Amino acid sequence: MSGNANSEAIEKIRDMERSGSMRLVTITATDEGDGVMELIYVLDRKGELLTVRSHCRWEDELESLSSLYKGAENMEREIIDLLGARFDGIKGGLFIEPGSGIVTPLRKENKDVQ
Amino acid sequence: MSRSTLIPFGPQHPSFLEPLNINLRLDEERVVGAEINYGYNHRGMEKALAADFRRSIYLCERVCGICSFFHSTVYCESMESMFDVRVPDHARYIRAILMECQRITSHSLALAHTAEAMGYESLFMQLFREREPVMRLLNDITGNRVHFSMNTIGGVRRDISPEQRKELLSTMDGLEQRFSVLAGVFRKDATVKRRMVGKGVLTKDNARTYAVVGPVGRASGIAQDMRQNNYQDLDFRPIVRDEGDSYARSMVRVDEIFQSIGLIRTAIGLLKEGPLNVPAKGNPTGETFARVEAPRGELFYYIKAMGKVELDRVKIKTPTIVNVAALTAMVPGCEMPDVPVITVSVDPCICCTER
Repeated sequence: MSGNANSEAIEKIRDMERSGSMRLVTITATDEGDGVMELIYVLDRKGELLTVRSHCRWEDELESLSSLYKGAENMEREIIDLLGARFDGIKGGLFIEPGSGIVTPLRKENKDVQ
Repeated sequence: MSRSTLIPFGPQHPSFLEPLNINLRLDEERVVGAEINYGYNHRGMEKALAADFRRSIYLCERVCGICSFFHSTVYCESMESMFDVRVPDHARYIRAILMECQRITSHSLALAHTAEAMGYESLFMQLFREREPVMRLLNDITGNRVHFSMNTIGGVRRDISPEQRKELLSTMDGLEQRFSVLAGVFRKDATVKRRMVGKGVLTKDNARTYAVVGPVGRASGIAQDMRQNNYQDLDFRPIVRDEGDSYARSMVRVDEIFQSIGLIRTAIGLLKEGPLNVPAKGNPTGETFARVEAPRGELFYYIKAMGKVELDRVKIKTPTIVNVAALTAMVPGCEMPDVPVITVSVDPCICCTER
């Protein structure tokens, strides 16, 4: 297990995947305030929704789930663009042009930015 | 040694309705790699939706013009879960009828564009002709062709009158008869089969790793449809195929149109007079996950609220964000002229994805 802030969550998802019939639904990130972000990995097992949560700081380099689910890459790119998280080996620039005036629009500190 | 060529396919391309870019790496005419790019139209709606939960029904219906009612339904279901209100059965069936009507219009649009991408103009026009009576019927029932404004937190705002129910049944009878002829073209026509059978195959393993949903997943053997949970009283079973190619994706949609007609008939039979909605008072608190089966697959909403009019977070996961990524596994090995048909067979909705 690598030492990223979300590695425990990724390892838990790997264990769940080994048990079979798992599908990644989405990855959600929310700004918890004070530089903390909550990552919620939402998975489906035979129609039942399961969540795996991880609390990280904005400056943490996070482990990507794309080695397990290729579909996770665009979800992580979205989180990079909209909330400014950092995932190891994943680049942003999916929804927001790098270098544009809009930066991390979903962070609470940018609440009033239109 | 052959040299590969990089061809930018889109973002503006005649076969795409919305901006989508596929950077194709070709060896002669054969595709050896692909990189998908989108994000040309991102609108920041998740931020706008969090401004006022009462006004968000109006806005979330405008995330997409093809599956608008699915967005408002899943948003209302999220809120109903937070307010802990149970939607009356009558309203639940009205929602099911409207969702299935919109699925018919969406699937016929997807099939029409697949026909157009194959160069089959007459099939494209006939599919649009059959779509139109359903669009007009939705206009009669809801007052709007695209954004119905029927949903409210706790139920629906308007009933379907007995005359409209009769009109619905008669429209479905006519549609079933005429659509059978067009479905026959998809089932038997040699040109359709040559353009689609064995093209753009997504294996079951790849379908799992790309986490694809909807007809794209079901055409690759993933037997999952959110209606299994939501339509328990409508005797629903998902339509699944194993081939994983463009033809299978289109045939899942063809069969789902007939399935939707059947579901509409069943739901009309279950309509009983009763309240259309229940009140939801106060401001929402807590967090909720909700999902419905939109025409392109699972549409998921996560909402977090702190007891205020403003929502803490609204997250929308649309089916296309995962389905379109799987094109990188579908197009390698195919010929360059097959790429438009394969892409359209995924039925990408960039409008939803760039909410």
